Parts: sequence; structure tokens; C-alpha cells
Amino acid sequence: MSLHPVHFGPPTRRLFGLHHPARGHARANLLMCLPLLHEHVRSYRFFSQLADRFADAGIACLRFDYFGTGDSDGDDDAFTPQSALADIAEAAAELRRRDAAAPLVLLGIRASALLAARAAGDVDAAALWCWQPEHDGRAYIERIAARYREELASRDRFPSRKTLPSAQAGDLMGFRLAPAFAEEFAACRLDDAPGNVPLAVIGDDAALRLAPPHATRHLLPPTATFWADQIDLRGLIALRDAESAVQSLLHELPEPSLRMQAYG
Amino acid sequence: MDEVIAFGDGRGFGLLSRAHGARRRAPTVVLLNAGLTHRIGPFRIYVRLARRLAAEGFDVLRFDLPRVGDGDARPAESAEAVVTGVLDTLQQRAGAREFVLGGICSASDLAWRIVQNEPRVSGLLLYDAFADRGPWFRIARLRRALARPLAQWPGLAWRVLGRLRVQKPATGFDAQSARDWPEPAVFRAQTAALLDRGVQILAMYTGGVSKYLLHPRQLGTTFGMKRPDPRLELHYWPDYDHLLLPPDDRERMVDTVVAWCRKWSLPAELERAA
Repeated sequence: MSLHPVHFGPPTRRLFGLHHPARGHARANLLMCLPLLHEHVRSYRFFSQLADRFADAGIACLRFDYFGTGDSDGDDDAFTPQSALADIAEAAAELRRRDAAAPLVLLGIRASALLAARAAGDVDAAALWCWQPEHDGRAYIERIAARYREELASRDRFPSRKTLPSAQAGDLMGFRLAPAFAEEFAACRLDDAPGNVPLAVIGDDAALRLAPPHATRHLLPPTATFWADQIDLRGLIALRDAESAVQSLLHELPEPSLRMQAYG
Repeated sequence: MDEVIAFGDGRGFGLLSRAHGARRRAPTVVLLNAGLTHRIGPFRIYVRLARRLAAEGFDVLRFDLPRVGDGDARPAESAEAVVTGVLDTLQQRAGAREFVLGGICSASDLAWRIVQNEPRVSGLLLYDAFADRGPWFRIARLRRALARPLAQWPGLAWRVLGRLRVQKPATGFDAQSARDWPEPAVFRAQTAALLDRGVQILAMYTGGVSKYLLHPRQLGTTFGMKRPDPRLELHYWPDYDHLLLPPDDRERMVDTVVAWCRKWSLPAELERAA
């Protein structure tokens, strides 16, 4: 098996992750902060394959689920932005426990980019990569809340329902979250990323246009970005369509020697 | 508490939610992937179901089939062979002797194929599985068309006439041809054989499969003479969507499965202790 399932974190708050060891000497540790809510399932296999791709290129990867999401312990309403930041710190420590010398790169995907941007300074990341990032937590919450209402009113989804369902407070995209989730998340912005951490933005034209001025930009074709916001999983995302962006990211890996001084 | 269990010579893994305490019931529940959705299920329903069942005394396994989630990209075996291997592993390493097998959508189809030749399976969990369209589907579709506002009738009639005039190739999703289903008569014979073998069957259907199921009486024609068999439990929820998007709908589905699983009683000594 080229990936190793692992539970980590305190016994009362166990997180689940998948570690993809680097082929040969690790050039970096990559911590993947996966997309949230419906996009987590929608993109799961793609980011599993992407982690394999990076591992083949000498980058050890850890994909993990926040507490209250995916395979980690906890119910849906235990997942909050504050707890997610603590989980990122826990996962970063887990990666460093395996290899303290390699520099840590945070990969924040979609809405998780906002969390990774906040966490980057606290976990002393050597670089922050944001994949198809959301830029503004408030706009994100408003958009997916509207999308959820639209989906609940869809006659395609509920062809036989006489009274269409309505969302309860805290419900977002089919998940019953803590009522405080939306308010907390609305305060997150990609601008929260510390200015002294090298930033890369990977995405379509629109995402690259919105990227902060100091970010490097890595273009994805529409065939690699179409899945964002989708609820139904009707087809897979082809890894080969992201290969060009992967190649350009590999060229800007942080130097291991710089981090060895801090963690060696 | 979930634990990792490796199988397939270390090529795959699953997450086994262990029965709480000593309250372990006989069958181990094995949930198969819902289409391309990885082992957590749509909106994490498999995680919720596994943990609820573990609290009821069942071991429950979730894992990824080849080409799904973290599953093998280049499998050497069929999905059926992979599942059989997983049952072998659970038998050898987790002491499982009998199994409840199934899951959502295509998981039901795969479980149906496997159970025909797998005597260790004592329970089948079906969700939006095969249903025979039959005459009741056409009646329900006609009734639905007639219930539309009068203003829509001319357009509807035009479309129906158009379809009669021109034999267009089918468009959109056609579950009856897209999924690997037996002929209705074969399905009924297989149902009878499974029930006679003592297999318990829970089959749940939703409004999300209105392309092939619109009327509760279709379940009678689907399961045939065995419809009243006490080992066959059927539910039709026309209000629900296929993925159970609203959390309350998911909870009702989980409640239904948990209640059905209580058919498998606790060992007598634990019942007395409880």
C-alpha cells in the first residue's frame, strides 16, 4: 500500500488521516487541508491521486479529516472553524513527527484555503498553496446557503415531495453544523495569510485574478476545476489535467535547508 | 471506536467501527460504496450509520472498492472478488461469522450479486435498488401528467405525440439500462431463494428514483409472491431524494436500518445481564 491510514490526536478527539510517504528522500512535507462539506466527497479521489503524485515526486503528504468530518471522530456539529485550526496544528505536528527536517507546505483546498491561510503562521509553514481557493468567508457562506436553499427547492431532486424541505438553523449543504459555524467562517479571508509565507494560488483565470499580489499563479484548465460547488458525484476529475500546475508547483518548493535550522 | 483493518495483502484498508463493550451481536455489517462516493457515504451517512450500529452491538466495516476513494487504481480482481476477500479477512481477523451486506444505490446491486453465492450473508441492506417498472409505473406516470395544470397539457400532448412520431435515441439517465440488474422474473426467483435460505432483506426506496419507481404497488410486482414474507421489510419514501440531502431524512433512514438490525438479538447471556 502506498498510503498509510493513521489515527492521531488526543484519544478524546481522534483525527483520521492518510499518509503518503515520499518516494526516496522527502523534499517537503505537504499537509492537505481538504475541501469542506459537499465538495469533500466530490473531490476525494482526485486529491488522493494528487497526494500519490506528489509522493512520487519526493513530497510526503498527509491528507486528513477535520474533527466532525469524513472518517475522523465527532458528529457534524462538532466541526467549527476554530476547531479546524486546532486540527491543522495537530496534523502538522503529526507530519513533523515523521520527518522534522523537511519543510512544511500547507495545501488549502477550496474553502479550506481560508483555514490554511489563518493557520499558516501558527504552524510555521514554509509555504502556503491555495487550490481553487475561496477568497472571502462571508461570500462563501452566503453563496452555499443560497445554493442549499435552491437545492432543497429543486423539483429534479424532490420530484414527488408535496411540501419541499426547509433548512434548519445551522444546516449547510446537507450537513447539520453548529449554529455558530457560519458566523465564525464568515470572518475568514484569504488575506489572513501571513505576508512572509510564500503563497501560490492554483486555479482558473478568475481565481488567479483574485490572488494577492505577492502570490505565484498556476493555471488549471476548466477540465480540472469544473467540480467546484457540485453536489452529485457523476464523474471523476482527471489528474492528468492538473499535471501542468503540479509541475510548476514542484519548481517552487521551499529549500529544505532553511527549515532544518528551525526543526532539525 | 473506529479501527483500521488491512486487507488484500496490504493493498487496501477499511475502517471497522467496533461494537461497544461486550454487547456484540452476530452479524458484521459491511457497507459498500454508494457509486463513486468514498467510504463515508453521501453526506457522511455511512459514518453515522456505522457508529449508531456499533452502539447497538454490531461491528461495521466501511471500505473503498477498486477505483473509488482510496481504492486500488489497477485492481487484479473483480469488485465481487474483492468483497469476498474482505469477508474472509473479517472472518479470520475479527472473528466475524455472518454478515449483513449492502448500501446505497450501486452498493445494493453489488450486494445482490454477491449474496446469491455467499452463504455467510444473512442480511441484505438495499437502498434504491432494482424495482420492476411494470404497469403501475405507467399508471402513476399518467396520473402525474393528468395532475398538471391545464395550461401545461398542450405542451405535454405535443411532446408525447412527438415521441410517438420520431423514435429518438434515449437521453438522460436510464437506470434500468445503466445498472446491472437481472430481469424482473429472475429477480423475483432470486428473492424467493434468498428468503427461503433465511436471508433477511431490508429494501428502502426513495422519490429520487422516480425514473423507474413512482407507485408503491410496484414493490408488489418487484418482489412477487414473497412480498408478505416477514423476512422482507420494504419502505417507500417518495418524499426523499436519492442522496438524502436533508439531515432529518438521513436520520430517519439510519433509524430504520438500526431498528431492522435489532432483529439480530444479543447473545442470551448479555440479554440477561442487560
